[in-house]
Amino acid sequence: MKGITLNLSKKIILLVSFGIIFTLVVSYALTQYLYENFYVHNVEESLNQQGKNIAKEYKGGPITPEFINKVEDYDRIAEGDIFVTENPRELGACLPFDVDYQALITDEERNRLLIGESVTKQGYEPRFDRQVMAVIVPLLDQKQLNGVVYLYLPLSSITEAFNEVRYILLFMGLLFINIALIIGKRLVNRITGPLRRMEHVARQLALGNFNEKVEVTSRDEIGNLGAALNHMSTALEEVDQRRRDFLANVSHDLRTPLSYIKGYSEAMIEGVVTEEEQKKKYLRLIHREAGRLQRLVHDLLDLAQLEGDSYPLNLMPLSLAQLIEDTMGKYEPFLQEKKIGLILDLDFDVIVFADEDRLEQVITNIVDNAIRYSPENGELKMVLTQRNNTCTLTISDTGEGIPPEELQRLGERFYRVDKSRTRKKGGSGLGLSIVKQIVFLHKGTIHIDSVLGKGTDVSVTLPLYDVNVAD
Amino acid sequence: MFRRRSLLLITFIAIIFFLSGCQFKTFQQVPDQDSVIAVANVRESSVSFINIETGEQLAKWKLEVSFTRVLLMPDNKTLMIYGRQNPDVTFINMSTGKLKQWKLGEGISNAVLSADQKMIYFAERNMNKVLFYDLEGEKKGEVEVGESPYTMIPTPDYQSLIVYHLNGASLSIIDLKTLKVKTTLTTNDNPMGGLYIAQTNELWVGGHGAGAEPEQNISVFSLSNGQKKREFPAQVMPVDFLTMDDKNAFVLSHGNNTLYRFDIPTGNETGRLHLGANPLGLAAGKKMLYVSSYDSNQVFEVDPVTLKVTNTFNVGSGRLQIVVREGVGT
Repeated sequence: MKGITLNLSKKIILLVSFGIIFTLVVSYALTQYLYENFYVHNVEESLNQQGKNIAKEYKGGPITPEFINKVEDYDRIAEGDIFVTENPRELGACLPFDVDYQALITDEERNRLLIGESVTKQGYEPRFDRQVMAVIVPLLDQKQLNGVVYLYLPLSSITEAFNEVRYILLFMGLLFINIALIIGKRLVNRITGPLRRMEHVARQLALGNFNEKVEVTSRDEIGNLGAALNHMSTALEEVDQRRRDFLANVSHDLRTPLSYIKGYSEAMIEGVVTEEEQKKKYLRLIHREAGRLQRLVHDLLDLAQLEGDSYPLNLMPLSLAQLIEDTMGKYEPFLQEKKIGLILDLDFDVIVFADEDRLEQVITNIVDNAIRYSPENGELKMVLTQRNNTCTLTISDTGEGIPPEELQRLGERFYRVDKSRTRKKGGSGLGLSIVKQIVFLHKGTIHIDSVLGKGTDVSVTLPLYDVNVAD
Repeated sequence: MFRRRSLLLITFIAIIFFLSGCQFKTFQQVPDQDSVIAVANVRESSVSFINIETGEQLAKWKLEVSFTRVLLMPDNKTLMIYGRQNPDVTFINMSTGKLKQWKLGEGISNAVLSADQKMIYFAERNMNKVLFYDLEGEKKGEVEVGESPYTMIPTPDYQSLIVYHLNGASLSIIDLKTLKVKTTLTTNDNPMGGLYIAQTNELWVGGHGAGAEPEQNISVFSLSNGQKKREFPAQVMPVDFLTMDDKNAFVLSHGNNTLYRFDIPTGNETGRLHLGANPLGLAAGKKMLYVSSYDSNQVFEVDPVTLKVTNTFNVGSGRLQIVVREGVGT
């Protein structure tokens, strides 16, 4: 079934209107109820009391002229009209005979009066030809209904009092509705305006336009939602930018070696190079560039795998200090070549639960960088300590350091501090990204401190092997 | 075949039973030898029978329909019960408790027996007619009269029926030979109750009064010339009249709860008794008068000589009228 679809603002307006109308109806009904129950009842009670007070003066027997005079006096000062009648015809004495005369009281009223009850009635009274509220109090002498005290008040005088209130109520009600609707509409706009804006921004985001932002004007849930949307927009923009950079980097880094290879190989095919020595040089260059391509592709593949959801780590307890020593053994020729001094300060008690090959890759990548950016006669220091279930490996070099503003972006793919991309110092620009990913997979953290011109400290913190957990 | 026939028979019996349902109803019997007053309690639609001697209630008939008046039939055993809203006139035999009905239609406001007790005269208020029936229920005629016929007084010479027009200010005199209105007299307003004084050919007329003014007097008309002869006070609203002999007339004024005794030849008041609350019914036994009080649900037994209440009976609600049935034994 296809129902009527209303947008949020209409729904809220409808709800507010219902609320207002409901409140008004209830308050009107309440006023009416109070009027009926208290005011009218009060008038009735007052008439009744007056009637009873007068009836108290009656001491039985026929109604005397003095009594009638007394009631007439009372009538002059009382609020309503009061009279007393002793006329048996008015008192309905002939009612059983069906005589064609409209008595003041009905048969049923007479029966109630006879048992001493007062009669209260409200409505049209043909005798007075108007709407009245009347109270009839019997003047009984044992079983004889010798007369009645009849007190009445035109209903108009009672309703007039309420009419005034009714108009005020009506006026106030209309005023209230208008004010409430205006305020309600503003409120609804306040609520739904930002929502509409957010909808617009979300659509723009889907189209790739990240410039549109939501204006956050409040600190409530809707304001928070707007802020979150803005944050998401910024994050998406950054991700998008990185994607573009990544693609640009990858294509650039692939194109450079390829053009080398293509250029040198073409030169050889076309016979530009004739000398044997030159040919060998060209082949070496081609081989070097092919190697670089291989490394790049290998690193990309590694990174893609590491960033995947379920990269299988071959975890085992291993001595980190031993691993460092073994790995650094392989670097001896390079260190000697660059005359870099190596200082190892390792805690051999440190056991971590890790993938040996991957952890070696971490050390290799960091040390590669350190050696690459260290000048000759530099110093490489590796310190392994443990503290509170974690161990920290700090690799410090005396290299050129990294400017503080660059520090944050280290570890992004293809991000190099050295923008020239001269490849003088080699590297694919993916090394630190891979390190970060491996450390992350081992539930560890990486922290880089650097002072420009003095050197860089890279600290990798990993959880220690916990025998209990491993079991 | 047999089954179908028996089914038809049962259905037929059931229909007959259903149609004549109330015909089978019987009422509590009232022994013939007892002298009783039958009181019409119109508010609760019942008739109470009270033994005059003992004050004991002998029976109470609860009727399913509303009624306003009763009439004792010449057999001294059957009570006719009727009302303006009731299309049926109901007869209940006090000896047997059995019931029979005549269908006369609505509007019967009053009924009296003829002077020779062979006819019943019905005042029919919807059509403003007087209907004549014999005791077997055969209609003998009808006469159109003025508005709201109520009080009917047959003259003892069997010649005339005097009919008051309750909601007017006149009366008609019907010639019983020709069944035609022979005279119409102007009276006081809302005339009700009265006496025909044969010796002087006078008619005493009571009533309720005009508009808000209650009637204060009894008017005396000469039927010889149709002129009003005089009036004398009987405050307030004298509506019920009766005589026990040629000398004394008893008049009940319901407006001020007073029973008057007047000397018939002179019209002088010879006694009065204040009693009840809105007394509406007056009846005479052999020795005593009975007055029903509508508002106080009482019946008073009054000694006509001393004008003192000798007994008070309490039964039923809204007693409008009483009739006295003297027992066979007394």
